[in-house]
Amino acid sequence: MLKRVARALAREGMRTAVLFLLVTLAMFVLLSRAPGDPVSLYVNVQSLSPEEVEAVRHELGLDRSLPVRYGVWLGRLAQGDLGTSLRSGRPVAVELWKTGWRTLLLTGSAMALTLLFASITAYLAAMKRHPVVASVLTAIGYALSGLPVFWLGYLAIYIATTRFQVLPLMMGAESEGGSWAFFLVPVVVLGLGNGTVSEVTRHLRTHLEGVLREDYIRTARAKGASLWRHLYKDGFVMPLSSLLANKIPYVLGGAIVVEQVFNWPGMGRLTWQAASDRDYPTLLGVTLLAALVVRVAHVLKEAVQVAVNPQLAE
Amino acid sequence: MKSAMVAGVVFGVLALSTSGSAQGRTDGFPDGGKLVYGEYGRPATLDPITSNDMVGLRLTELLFNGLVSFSPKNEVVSDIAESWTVSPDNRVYTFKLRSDVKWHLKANAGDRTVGADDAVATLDVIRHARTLTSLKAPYELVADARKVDAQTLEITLKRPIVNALGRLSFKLIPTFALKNPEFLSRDDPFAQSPSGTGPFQLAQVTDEGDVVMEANTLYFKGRPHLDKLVLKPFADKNVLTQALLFNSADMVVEVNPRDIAQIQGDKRFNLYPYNALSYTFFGHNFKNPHLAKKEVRQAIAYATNRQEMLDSFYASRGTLISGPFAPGSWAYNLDVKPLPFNIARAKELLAQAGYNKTGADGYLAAEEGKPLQFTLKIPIEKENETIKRVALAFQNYMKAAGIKINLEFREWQAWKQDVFVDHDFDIVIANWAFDDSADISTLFHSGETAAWRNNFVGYSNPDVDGLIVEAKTTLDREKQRTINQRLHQTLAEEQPYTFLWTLTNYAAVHRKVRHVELHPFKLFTFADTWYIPKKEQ
Repeated sequence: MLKRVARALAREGMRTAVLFLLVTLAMFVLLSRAPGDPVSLYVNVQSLSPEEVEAVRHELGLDRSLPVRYGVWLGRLAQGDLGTSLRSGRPVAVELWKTGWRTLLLTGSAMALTLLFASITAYLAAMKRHPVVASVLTAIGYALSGLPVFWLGYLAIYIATTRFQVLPLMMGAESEGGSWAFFLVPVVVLGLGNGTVSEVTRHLRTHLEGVLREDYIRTARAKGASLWRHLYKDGFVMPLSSLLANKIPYVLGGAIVVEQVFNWPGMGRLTWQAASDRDYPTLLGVTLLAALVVRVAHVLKEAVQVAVNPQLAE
Repeated sequence: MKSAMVAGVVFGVLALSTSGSAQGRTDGFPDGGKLVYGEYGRPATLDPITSNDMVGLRLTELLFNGLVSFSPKNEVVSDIAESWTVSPDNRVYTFKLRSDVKWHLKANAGDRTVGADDAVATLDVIRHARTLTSLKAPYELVADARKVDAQTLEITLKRPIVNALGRLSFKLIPTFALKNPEFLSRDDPFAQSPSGTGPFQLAQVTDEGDVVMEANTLYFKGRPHLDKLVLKPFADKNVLTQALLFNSADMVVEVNPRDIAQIQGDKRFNLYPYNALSYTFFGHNFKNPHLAKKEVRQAIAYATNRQEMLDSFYASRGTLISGPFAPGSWAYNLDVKPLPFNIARAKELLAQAGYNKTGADGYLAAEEGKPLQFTLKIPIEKENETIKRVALAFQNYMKAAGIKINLEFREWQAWKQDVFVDHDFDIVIANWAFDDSADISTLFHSGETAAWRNNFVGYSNPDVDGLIVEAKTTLDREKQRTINQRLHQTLAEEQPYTFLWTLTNYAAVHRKVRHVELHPFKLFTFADTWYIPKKEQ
């Protein structure tokens, strides 16, 4: 079985490399086609002569052709260099490191919350033991998923400040007496809002109901065995691993908005800023990292599924 | 709207009376306490040369000094230079520098004081090809800068200009602390961790982006009263007020107009108004054959109820304007009154211009079955949601006059591309911010219509061109004023822009902070005199 897992991993690795090339190339082309220019980060273009602006572009290497710039970028990447942020002048790798772990904390906790909420709701609904609780939870899930995440963010800030007298913003090192609210509220907003929770619940519930109808479950029930032991692999591990992998892009996207609203100094804010600045080295770095996360999650999902069901490796 | 749209370049420096010793202040107010101020957005760099945004401009007021600075009335006052003389031909400026100005400790300057060679070196860095800075253009006027002796500096200009002294207010940096003392690029650690001479010195930039500053005990005008000053960046303007109300910040530099009433009602805070030299306008593209007609532009002005918009969207916190200068400027012609709201007059003018048939859709007919219609391009800016309301109101006002307005919202950089490069718009809503020179030459001169030039509306009038050149070449301020007032009158009549208003900004500061005085756009020029009473620290 290990051999199969290894083979699957190798295959995915190849696909990942191709994907990286395509994603970064697409990003490069898109950015060069987009209106706007990182030059205005450095100077007020209106107050300079065209020659002076051209000199700035030359200094930044923006006057070279697109293939050349992409080639240079790839060459540096091959040496492990992600380039330098046009905005801050710091290496992109440092910027990603400084903000990435905060986003990981936010998105990881949010996804854990999504899964917790969805699993409980789906389980209760599928087992049909507590129909009222299940319906209420499902309704809450749908309602929260239906709200735009930025609006939910403002709403959460409003409720937290007026009802509980706490401000759910990321506090700096300089703030005293910060509360847990600054961490919990954005996690709740991203975990239960952002449109994912209802989808995960529904998917999981459908899957669970399907599994519950299987013959081996009926047999297990008949012989009085623990239902959970027979259920968790097909009922939870399989759908959850694929759901998790599929939802990562959405959660990362939601994090951009949530980080803005809650002043969370993570990668989402970095991305937002870099996009407004046309800071293409930073944007490419973020793209690459996001693609990497999505792929790693996908590969892990494949690995988990192959481990659970070796037939899938064929 | 956006600070990036700056007509004329904004200069400035730290000001204040030159009294006080390097040890402490003699005003008797207590030292100590901390002030956290909230800004919208974090500065890209923290030095005064590569920094190119308002957040950075305000921050560098705290960390650096120039040769000269400005008083609260915007007069040039001494700063690092204690005195100066000007040659009879107005080209050579000789500055005598104070001998007690020390660099911040982190510059590792040892016993070294700031001298003429530092000023020369700073100018050299600004003008170096590898330094990317907006300051380069204004300092092109400097032909030569040389050290006469340790504390004497001589700057020679290429030609005499008005208010040259005010333009020589660049901030001095310790060039020996740069990675390469000849130029400054953004990847130089100095750009993120600079040292200067100002009342506060940089202590730390946290991972969250907070810029922590502490009192410079060696400050030549005396130690500032506050122990600590922290810039806290926020990514969303809507939560800045919440941060203030929940003690996450003691000060917000620009309060969201919507939140002013709420802060006003809170006894913990004081609101400080300040008038930036800026105004908002609708700009009309002269390439559009309909907008090229003066009557149409005048009709648009008459049909726009500007007072109503100012009252309802900005709670009347501003002033209507009639021409191309900010009302706070010396160049503004108070005799020219803003056009009144008069829909009948608007219709009359449109009829005069040949638009007298109304189509089935209720709009005036322009040509074969097409209504008289224009596209209004609006930059999407998160920090300014009110602009959407203005656009919608404008659409309604124009509908009443029989003009159809199509709204098109564009992302900021895309908007700039459309407006400044492609000139692809009929009407834009925008904002100009000025320095004190009140120089509108690039806005309305017919030679300034190329890509990225400021006359993006394509306005061309030989009389105006003539007046602009005359205003630029004269050194006599009174004569300049007369010319500018004539320009004002002509442009008010011609309406290349529908001139809207200038807004009053408000900073909110916690009551515990006393003696708060603000510079109109640099804000923190006088922050070394702010203090917090012992009991409230």
